[in-house]
Amino acid sequence: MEDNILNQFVSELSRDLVSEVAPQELPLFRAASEAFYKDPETLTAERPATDDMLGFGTGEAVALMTPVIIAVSQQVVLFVMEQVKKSGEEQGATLIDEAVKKMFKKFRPAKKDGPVPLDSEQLAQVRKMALKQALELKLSEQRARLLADAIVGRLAIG
Amino acid sequence: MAAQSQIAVRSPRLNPFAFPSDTDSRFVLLIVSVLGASLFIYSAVYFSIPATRDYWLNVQLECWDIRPALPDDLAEFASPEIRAAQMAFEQCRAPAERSNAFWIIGGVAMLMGVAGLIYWTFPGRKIRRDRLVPLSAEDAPEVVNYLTQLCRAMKLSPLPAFLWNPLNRASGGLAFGRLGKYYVSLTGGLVMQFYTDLPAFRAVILHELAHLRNADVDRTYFAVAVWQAFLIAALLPFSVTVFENGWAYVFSVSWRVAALAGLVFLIRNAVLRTREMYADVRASIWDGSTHALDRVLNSLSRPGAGTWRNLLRVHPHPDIRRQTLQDPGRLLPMGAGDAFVTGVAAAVALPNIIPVMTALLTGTDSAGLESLAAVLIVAPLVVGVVGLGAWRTTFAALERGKARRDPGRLGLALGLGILLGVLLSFRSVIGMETTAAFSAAEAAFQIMWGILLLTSLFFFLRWIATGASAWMEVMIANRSPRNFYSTGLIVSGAVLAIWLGFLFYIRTLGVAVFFVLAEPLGTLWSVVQHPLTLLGIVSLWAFPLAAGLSQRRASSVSESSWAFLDSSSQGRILMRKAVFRPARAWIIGLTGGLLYCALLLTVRIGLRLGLPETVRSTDEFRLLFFIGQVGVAALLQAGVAALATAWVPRLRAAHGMFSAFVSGLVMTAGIVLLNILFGGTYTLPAAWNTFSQVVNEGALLALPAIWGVLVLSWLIQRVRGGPAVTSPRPVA
Repeated sequence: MEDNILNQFVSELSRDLVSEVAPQELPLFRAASEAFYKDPETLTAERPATDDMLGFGTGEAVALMTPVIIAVSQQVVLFVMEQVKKSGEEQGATLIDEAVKKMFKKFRPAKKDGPVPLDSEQLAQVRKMALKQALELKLSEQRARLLADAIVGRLAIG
Repeated sequence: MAAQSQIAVRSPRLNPFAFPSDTDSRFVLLIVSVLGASLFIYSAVYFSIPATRDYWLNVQLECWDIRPALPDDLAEFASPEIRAAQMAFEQCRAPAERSNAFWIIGGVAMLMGVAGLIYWTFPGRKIRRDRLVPLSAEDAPEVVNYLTQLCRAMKLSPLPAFLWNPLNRASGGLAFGRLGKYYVSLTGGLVMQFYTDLPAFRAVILHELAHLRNADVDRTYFAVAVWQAFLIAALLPFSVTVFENGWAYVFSVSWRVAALAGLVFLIRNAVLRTREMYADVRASIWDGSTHALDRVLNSLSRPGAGTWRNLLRVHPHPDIRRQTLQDPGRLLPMGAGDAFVTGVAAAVALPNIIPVMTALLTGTDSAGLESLAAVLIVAPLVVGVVGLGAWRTTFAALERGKARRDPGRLGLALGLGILLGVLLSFRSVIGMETTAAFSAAEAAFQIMWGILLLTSLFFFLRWIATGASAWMEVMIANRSPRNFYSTGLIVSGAVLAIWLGFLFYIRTLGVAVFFVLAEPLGTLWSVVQHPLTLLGIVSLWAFPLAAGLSQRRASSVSESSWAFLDSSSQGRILMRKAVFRPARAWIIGLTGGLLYCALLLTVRIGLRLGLPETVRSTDEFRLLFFIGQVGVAALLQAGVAALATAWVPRLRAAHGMFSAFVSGLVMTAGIVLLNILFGGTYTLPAAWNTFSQVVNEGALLALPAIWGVLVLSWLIQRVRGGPAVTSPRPVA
């Protein structure tokens, strides 16, 4: 999947997730996603608030979820793409792109002619991966679970 | 919190912006302490590098032969032969001393250059490192519009550039920049709060904008830059070169450098902490309420409390910020710690400036002026910080209806700081050739010098506070206190410069001062007659009593337009009235002076009748008679001062000094006129000489007399059980 197509798909997915789990952050979504794609390392390289000794003060880290949602969505999409490739059902980049999209409920056609959806083991794997990354990015456990569940809920099931 | 909000409504908040802030004074202290410490360090580096050290030593050795030996008999120390030999030695070694001085000055200039570079490039580095991008209308149009309106409403000009990092999830803001170009950066978390919690967003933004209005951004980032430059350009070269020396020297220098570095670090932290509280207060004024900011501060994480931890922090504890927000008057009184640090910074700078000045002036006709020149640099700092602190403390106490804490403790803390600072100076590292007798005398001298310093500063700070208290009701009735405290600080700065100049001059002389001062018509004589001494003495009484001449006085703080932040809820506080009795003091002085004239007339008639002309016309008799006239006049002035002090209810010392001055004036007139009446002559310079001696010596004797009366009356009050100080009365 080409980067821009991947980014576009990740954006669509993450915006959908933001509107569900953190709708108050929607006004910032476009700016945050642009910043993320411009420099994805920023999120993981983010310094702790205590480092800024001249700022307002050491505030409680606001659970701004958008950057985390984008980062987790990206990883999940890459995982799904990997699964599609492994299944060997599709050939060619365009076909793979289409297959990946169809793994998500939102893009899956009503009639059952899409790729084989993830099985329960793979879904559990997605959930675990999403949860782990969200926690690594300092999301609270409650919000991390919420996000992981929302992502899994968007994947098509057999 | 509700309770606190109610307090905020009920209690009028004092205006801490009425006086220059602690941020200003601590920034000045930082610069001075860095300069002082750098002078020390570059001296140490100079003597650690083999090339410079060997050059200096070779010149000294070449000049060694003509150096005068220390006399066994201390009385010979001031002999003309020894002085001439000393001068020749000084001129011989002057080139080495100057090379040392230029090295040190060059080092300090380099340090400031590095600091300037760090300061200037900081914004660019900050923007890159934090991946900040302009906050555009495309990103968040409502936020940008709101921020622009807020800046205009707060009348900020020029408008700062707003930057942000949308991926930074914490909630925070930061005002930064350099001269002429300022930024406010926002985190993604804070921008999100615009949509979820607008009052909190507004509170944080107002706080950051307040930094710009308080003009502390440049000072803050220069303070940070100075600290970094100090590490790079001073401590690093020192660490590299110091081990060229023996271990005893390394230890002796290193602990001092460590202490100085610690001092600079702590002052830098103090600058950074204080600015936050002033910004909080400014933000609450703009917001018209403390509620939102108080809530945000309450949400901040709480580090462990404790005095030492607080000193190491660059942010004040959130609880302290909240308390200050509700009661900004807490920012006004000066603590003994600040006075102590001021003393250390001043004394670190002063003895390190003196050798540089000495090195520059060695072998020249201006040699000997280095103490005065150095004091003229440092005294304004001391008065600017501690003197202003005494004004602010007095203001806070009088306006809040509380008795003033004894400002003398600020003087003691300042003096102790100076003593520690002197110990930290580079000069104290270098051992001098000495004898056992000389060492013992020097130790005794140092102890006496320390006591004199502490005592004089104790009374000096009390005097400043007394003056401030006398001027308070005049200040309150005017639109701004600035002219009053500025004038007061100039007067007290002049007095302190004269006194510290004298103290450090005699410290430079060391134990030899006893012989130099006691020499007939020598230094002490010159000091007593000096016009600057007269100026200092007159200032002691003129400054506080001049407040009595003003027609505009307030009886209540509520008449003030600047004392409070919240005009709507001013409680009415009656101030303790400054009672001026200059007429009474004048009459006492005049009476004492006339009595002296009558006594002098009687003595003159008696001498004329009782002693033959041949005896009266000898030089010995004339000298003795003149000394007697001045001596009796000085003693009588002390009595007059004591009487006036006991007879007035307030500003007692000032009235006493004024009374002594009036009587001294009349006595001088009596001496001159009676001398002319009895066939003598008096030139104008001779009359001035007599006036200086009578008034200055009288004042010097009056001071302990006044002090004795004050102590006595305090003891009497204690025995009777009455209040020592009448507190102002808050009324409904």
